[in-house]
Amino acid sequence: MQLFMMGGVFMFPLTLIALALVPITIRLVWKLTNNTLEAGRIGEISLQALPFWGVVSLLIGFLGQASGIYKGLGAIAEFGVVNPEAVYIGLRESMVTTMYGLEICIVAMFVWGMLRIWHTWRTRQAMAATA
Amino acid sequence: MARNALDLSNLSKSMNELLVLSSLVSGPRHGYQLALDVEELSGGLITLKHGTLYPILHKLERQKLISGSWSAKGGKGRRRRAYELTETGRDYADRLRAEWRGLMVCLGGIVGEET
Amino acid sequence: MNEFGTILSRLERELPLPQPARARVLLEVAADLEAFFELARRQGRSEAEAQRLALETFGPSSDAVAALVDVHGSTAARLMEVLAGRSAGLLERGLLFVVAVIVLFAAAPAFVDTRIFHDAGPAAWVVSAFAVLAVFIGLVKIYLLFLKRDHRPRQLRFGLEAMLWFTIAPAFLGFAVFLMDAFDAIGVVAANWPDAGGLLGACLVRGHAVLAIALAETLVASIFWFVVNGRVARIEEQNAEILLELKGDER
Repeated sequence: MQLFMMGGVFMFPLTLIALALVPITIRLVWKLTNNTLEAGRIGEISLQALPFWGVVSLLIGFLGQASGIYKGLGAIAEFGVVNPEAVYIGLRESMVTTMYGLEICIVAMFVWGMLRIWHTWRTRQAMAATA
Repeated sequence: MARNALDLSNLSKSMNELLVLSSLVSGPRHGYQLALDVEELSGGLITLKHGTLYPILHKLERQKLISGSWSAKGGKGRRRRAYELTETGRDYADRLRAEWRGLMVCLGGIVGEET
Repeated sequence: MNEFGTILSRLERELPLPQPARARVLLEVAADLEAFFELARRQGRSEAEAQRLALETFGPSSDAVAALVDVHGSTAARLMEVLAGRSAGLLERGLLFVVAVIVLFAAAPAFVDTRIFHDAGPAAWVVSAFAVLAVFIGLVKIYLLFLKRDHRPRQLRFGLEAMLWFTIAPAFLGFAVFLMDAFDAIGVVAANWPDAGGLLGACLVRGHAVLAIALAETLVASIFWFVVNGRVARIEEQNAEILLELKGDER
């Protein structure tokens, strides 16, 4: 919770994306289990929700870091360094959003990889059955 | 464009190009007409099946050797795509035919006369 | 009646080509199937036999499809196809909108005054130029697609690829400037270690300012791009369905 507060406002959209990815993943897994995910192109596009939101999370994380550090460093540049230790603490805190975004991205990419392998295997099974 | 029109590493691809370009020499053709022409030109030996005509046509069009256009609506109200040779395509077809003639002479020397 | 409706419908769903190549291939295959079918019928063949021959000649095999992907699949076209597919679901479009609004509000304090552009230096103007171009093209396309309703096939995709690259470019440029700045900053700090604390702060301001501007502008430009590209993709799919005479049950 402390980390969440450290990250600031940008933690909210990142959390929203992380929460949204859960039902999206569950829906994709359910479709794959019940063989209702379209073979070929349409199915691939449905799966691409995961890497898409992963990359969006990563970019939001970087934006959070950049704007946070800019605000902090900007004030220091204007008023001079009062406490160098505070600069480094501020830098550390601003990286929370980047790490959070990166974690969401990594998990989304990993799950996407697993589902893609499953989908490709199912598509090949279907093609072999109709051949 | 390749220095040699004939691609010895992929003779079947080169032969398909030769057949398609040769059938366009006499004038514009729709896709289904090309498939029939190729079969007729090769004496039934070569038939372009399972949609293999489309990658050939689209690649030749990308290379600006042929140009395609949607013709006026046909019998069922559907427009059809017609293809014709460009000037570059005409030159390329002449070169390709010449190189194939050279290859045939070379192969003829190898396999010899029938005894 | 369309004898080949089921085949064409399946092909439309599974053909892994970007638009407009996919629509073109489908229309071409449909026209050739029907023409060959009519010719075979005139030659006295039965309906079933004519259909079989037509499919045998013109129904694309997986090898032919792979060859078509090689011919038509440029990186940009595939990327656009992927991203166009992303805006198809209503729930995800809603999520995209909500996330974009929250992020823009969260980033706004850094842009309250224009000092950030001053701190970012000349690089900010280069980055912003790309984003402005992307938004400009987006506004023109929105006017053409939604207001003027110019859905002519030749004009639909005009400018889309350029808009995509102008949308992505600020993010890449921003990261490049950020990394170069960080590299310089560390060099300066290493050379002036006793004053490291103050120097590091001053040196990193420019890089972070550029990165913040770049990512915020990429976000704004990408909102326009998603709206435009999604609309174009839907129009093309509708056009192809009409021209292929695909009914609802065949989809």
